[in-house]
Amino acid sequence: MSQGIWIFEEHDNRGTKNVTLELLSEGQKLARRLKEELCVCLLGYQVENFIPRLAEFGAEKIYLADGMQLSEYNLDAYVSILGGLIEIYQPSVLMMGATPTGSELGPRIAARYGLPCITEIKKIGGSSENFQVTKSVYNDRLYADVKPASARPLIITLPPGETDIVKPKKTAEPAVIKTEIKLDENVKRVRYNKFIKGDPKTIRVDEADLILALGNGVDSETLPVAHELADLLGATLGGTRVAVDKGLIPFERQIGLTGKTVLPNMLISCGISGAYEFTDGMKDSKMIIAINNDGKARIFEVANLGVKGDLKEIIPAVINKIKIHKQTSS
Amino acid sequence: MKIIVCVKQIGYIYDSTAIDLATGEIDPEKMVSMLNPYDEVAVEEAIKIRESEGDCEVIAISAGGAEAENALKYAFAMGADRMVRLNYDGTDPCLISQFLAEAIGKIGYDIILCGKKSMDSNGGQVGSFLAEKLHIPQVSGIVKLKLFLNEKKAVAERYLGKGDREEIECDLPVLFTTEMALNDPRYPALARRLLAEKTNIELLDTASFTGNAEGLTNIVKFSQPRPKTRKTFAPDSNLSAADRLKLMMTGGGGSSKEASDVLDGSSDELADHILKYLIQEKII
Amino acid sequence: MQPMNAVKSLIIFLFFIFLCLSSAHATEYYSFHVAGSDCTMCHDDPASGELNDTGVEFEENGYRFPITQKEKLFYALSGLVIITIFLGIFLRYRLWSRGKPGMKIDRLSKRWDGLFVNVFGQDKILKKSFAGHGHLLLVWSFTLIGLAVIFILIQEYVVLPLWGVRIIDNHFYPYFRLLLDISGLIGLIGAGMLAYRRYVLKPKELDNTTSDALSLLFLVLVFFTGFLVTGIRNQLYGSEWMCWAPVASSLAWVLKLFVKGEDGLKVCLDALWWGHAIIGLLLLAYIPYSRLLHAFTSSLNIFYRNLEPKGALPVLDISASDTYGAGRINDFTFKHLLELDACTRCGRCQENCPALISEKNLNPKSLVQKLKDHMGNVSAKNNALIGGPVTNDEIWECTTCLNCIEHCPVFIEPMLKIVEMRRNAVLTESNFPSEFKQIFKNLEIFGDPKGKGRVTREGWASNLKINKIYQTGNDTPEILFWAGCIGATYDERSKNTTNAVARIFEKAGVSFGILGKEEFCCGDPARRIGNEYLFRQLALKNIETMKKYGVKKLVTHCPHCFNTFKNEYPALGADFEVIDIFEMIAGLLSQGKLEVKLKIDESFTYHDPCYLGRYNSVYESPRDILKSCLGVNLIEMDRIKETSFCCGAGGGNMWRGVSTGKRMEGLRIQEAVNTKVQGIVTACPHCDIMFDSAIKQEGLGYTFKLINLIELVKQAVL
Repeated sequence: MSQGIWIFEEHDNRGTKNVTLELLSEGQKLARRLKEELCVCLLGYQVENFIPRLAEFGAEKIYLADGMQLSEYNLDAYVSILGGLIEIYQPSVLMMGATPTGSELGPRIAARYGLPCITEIKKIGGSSENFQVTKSVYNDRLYADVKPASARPLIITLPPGETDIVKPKKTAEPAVIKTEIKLDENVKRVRYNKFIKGDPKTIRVDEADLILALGNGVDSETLPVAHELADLLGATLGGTRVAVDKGLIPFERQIGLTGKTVLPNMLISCGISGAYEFTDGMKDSKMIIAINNDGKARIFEVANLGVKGDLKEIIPAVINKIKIHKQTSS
Repeated sequence: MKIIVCVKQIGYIYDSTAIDLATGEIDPEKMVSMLNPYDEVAVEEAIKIRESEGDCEVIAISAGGAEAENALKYAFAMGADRMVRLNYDGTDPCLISQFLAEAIGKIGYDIILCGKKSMDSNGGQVGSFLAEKLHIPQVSGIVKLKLFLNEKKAVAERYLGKGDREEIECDLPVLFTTEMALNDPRYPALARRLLAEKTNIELLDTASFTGNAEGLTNIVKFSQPRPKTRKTFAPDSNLSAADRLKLMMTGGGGSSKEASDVLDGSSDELADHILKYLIQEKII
Repeated sequence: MQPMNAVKSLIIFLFFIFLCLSSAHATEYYSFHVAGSDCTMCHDDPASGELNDTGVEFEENGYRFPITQKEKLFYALSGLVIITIFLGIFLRYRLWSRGKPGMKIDRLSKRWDGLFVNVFGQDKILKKSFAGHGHLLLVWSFTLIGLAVIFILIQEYVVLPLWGVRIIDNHFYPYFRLLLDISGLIGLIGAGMLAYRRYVLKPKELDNTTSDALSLLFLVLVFFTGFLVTGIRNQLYGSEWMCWAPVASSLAWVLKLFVKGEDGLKVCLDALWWGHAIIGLLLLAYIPYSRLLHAFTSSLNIFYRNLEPKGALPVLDISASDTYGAGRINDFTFKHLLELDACTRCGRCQENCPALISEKNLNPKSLVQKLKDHMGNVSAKNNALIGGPVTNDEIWECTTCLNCIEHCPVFIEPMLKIVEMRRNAVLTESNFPSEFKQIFKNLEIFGDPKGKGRVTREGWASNLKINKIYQTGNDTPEILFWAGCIGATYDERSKNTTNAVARIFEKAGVSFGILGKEEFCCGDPARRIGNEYLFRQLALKNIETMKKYGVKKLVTHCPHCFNTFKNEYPALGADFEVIDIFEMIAGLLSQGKLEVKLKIDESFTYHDPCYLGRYNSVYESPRDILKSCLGVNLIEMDRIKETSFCCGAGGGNMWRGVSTGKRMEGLRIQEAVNTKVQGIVTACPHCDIMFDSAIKQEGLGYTFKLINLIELVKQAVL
């Protein structure tokens, strides 16, 4: 039986997404442990130029399906191509990101080909005949150890953003196996219309990944710089009830008990003392940076990084540093 | 037109010490039971379709034990027209969707709505499995839905994260899985709640179904998550040794939310700290 | 059937009207009759002693009332007026009777007491001194005149025919005359005071309509013409009575300066008599169509007032029904609709309403008036109230602080109307502020508003050894200490307060236990937001638990829980005693079980929580503890006790995104700061949360203290 650790590549117009690199990092470890090949399934149109980057992160073999028909993501097309590949090559594992794409693709392939599928996993152990997978259940309160019932190729999805991206020490030119694209009529059942870019300025505050929250400490003088910082970071503005009362932000951007509950990857709070009313709606954010001129403010109890200082000085300083950083890194 | 909504009564654990580490059993006192929030959104969407299109029957279906009736009753109270329960107590998504597919096939359907995933088992597979078993297309994680019944098609927006969406057009019949942002589910009016208590729930026994007896995965045991891997905040050389030590002790500012230290200094230094943090968190 | 009582009242009212009408000639008759043979009515020439036609008729009639043409005409007009009044009241009555039945007539003696105290004693009206006394004078003026007339009628139609005795004779009549004169005078003064207040002082709670002016004008004119008629008649026919009617006589004397000769006076008398009669009749006829109707409706409302505990909302039947609460005007009860007509637009509710003071949309007075107008608009009776006369904002801005009910002089309950509309919005329409949905779901699923879960309810006690009643078996402690959701699950400050209660009890050797994880929300938030169904679920669950453990006494430091247990649970079958924690602590202090080790030598102000103060009249025990036991220098704010200003949390508003107007908690903190004290002492976890955020947002974090009374006691005794 031919084996391998397979990774499903995801990309957008800027190239391979970080989640794929994370999968490759995790895949390297697994491949090393099981002594299997790390392969990437690369599907799309004119995607061959992604191969060097994939190789850089450890891909040893590329299953490539490149064609006009795949210029847009189509679930049925991807299922039949990936499924077909799995049927032929019988990998040990197919790893996908628990992204909107991976989360529908994985289970659908599993359903069509009768493969075990485990989503949003935290850890994978055991051997290729007897995998032991740990996944989070009950809203991350518990982990569950799950075992596939058969030794058929296992499909797993990994939540993005939880793995550090590491490059392997050694890389080699990967072998590329091209696949012919044969699609049936079914693929026309679902048609891609268009991509709608989310503008951080207009998206709902509870959808945002990065929030700049304004509070009582922000005034007419600091508001423009706060806006500048938000634009620079691509952050969505939110704020406290006072900020709404003061007219700094509209009501629908209010965070807290009486506003929206938010769970962004990062929330930067500016001039917010951290009244219960506010923190109740944001304390579960993954990372919280708090800037406040009062060192004893309650906001610091929930912040991961607390900074005491004057907004008028700190925000422009941060803007400056970010600009310098962007110039030097580009 | 028939709209099928698949619902599930889930257990929600509210306390992080809910599991007995010795026996691996979940303390029932630390768990509450509710309708899966994603499914609630699906029910709401179905009712909305009925309200705007008229002449629709919304059928709530759930595969589960007796507790599943609560989910069905809640869906009915929200506005579903029928309640169907498949008497099945397992957790395997493959088997559940096999049973659901058979039942739904018998009932008939034009649109199927499922929650994107259930918050307890955190699987998110039933939608895909069900669509596959019924040989219909699926559009998952939708945040906006518009039907064109005359043309037998629908246009939906899928959520891609960070506010990004993609617009998808599809033919009916189709299965949608719903994202939380799709709508704001209504709170059931009392009259419907009381009616739900009195309305008959159709019970289907899975024994007569043909589904394969074995699932594809098994849950072996539950365990308590280890504390999350902390993002560490690199102690800065500008800080005094004592401060650095304090930062390390508390896990570097980012470890424990209760014990983070507040940095003080010139705005330039502080801006540096923030910048480092932003870079570390891959914001820039 | 309750409406029958309204009919009875109507009959009594019409009888009263009849008496007033009779007064027109009854008093006049007496002035003639008692005058004896000098009277020119029966003698064309008094000196000759010869009777004229009237005199003959009078004699043949057995010295009874002679009915002249003038009086026949007057009675005919009176008949019309009575019909008009009857019709007017009947039309209003028809509107009220569209409501659902629901008027209570139990505890009759208490009702009569209340009626006397508040109609004749003007008890609640007098809380506002100037307006109250003006109104008191007016009411007593009419009452005295009415009583005088009743007296004459009894004398004339009962006493005289049966026993042939005249009580009002020449000796007694002067005093009688004087009484009537004084009654008229106080009425005039009263009307003058009210007019002065309305048109000169112009308090902002009053709005002026033409009808108000017309009513006052009629009143003043009736008194004036009455005086003039009496005065001139005395001038003409009964000079010996002149000094017994000083006001009338003086007015007549002024008039005499402008009128020449006796004939002129006779013409004046006739004209004024008719003027008095017609203005009087118009005034009477105007009653059902103007604010004057309140003399009837308000009295009726006082009689049928709600005698349940102030803090208890009426129980709603939640069995299957098409509609719950009040979605349309006819969903209100008869009593609610009667109240709409009982409103005199005095504005005492709005003067104290925190929503209005904080510049929100709600105004209880205009809400009642809008509902009243809507009730009158029969064609719109099936229209929804919300979106019609009432807006969504109005009903959700109410903090259920009870000020409107507390201050209404005629026992109207605007807040209960809001609750009925909320019930409809929640239970029937399912259309309410979205914030409440999560609160409801949390209450239903987790048993507390924030969804913390019941196991977390024991966290506050982790450093103490406290009996958990479910562990103590048969050995149930004497008192159950109820921690409450805020104090047990989601607010750190209040968790400390809860802990403080337990430590105070421990110190005092009180035998107590807690329910811990078997405690569920008492249901107050659900009920005040209008979710009676959820309230019922939670309450029944708690009652069952308490019955299971045989709980006899309960004490809690949350006024909302306290009120719910004390006033609302009994209606659902609870039979435990609810103890006021401050009375209990004051008792422990005075019995020496608690000893003050550290006097709190600071100045504080004390905020009366609505649910402790107005709802349950606990005003003194917290002050006693503060002043005498702890030695605090207590400086009061302007609005205390009955007029205490709400913190803004009640009725679900703690969780609602209110962005209209000012913030109540901010206004209150400002008021507290103005007393120049070191801090504010509260007695309610809700107030704590609200004030905490207000103090932070006003930037007073380190200069102004916020402390719960329990916490203060703990500091002093431990």
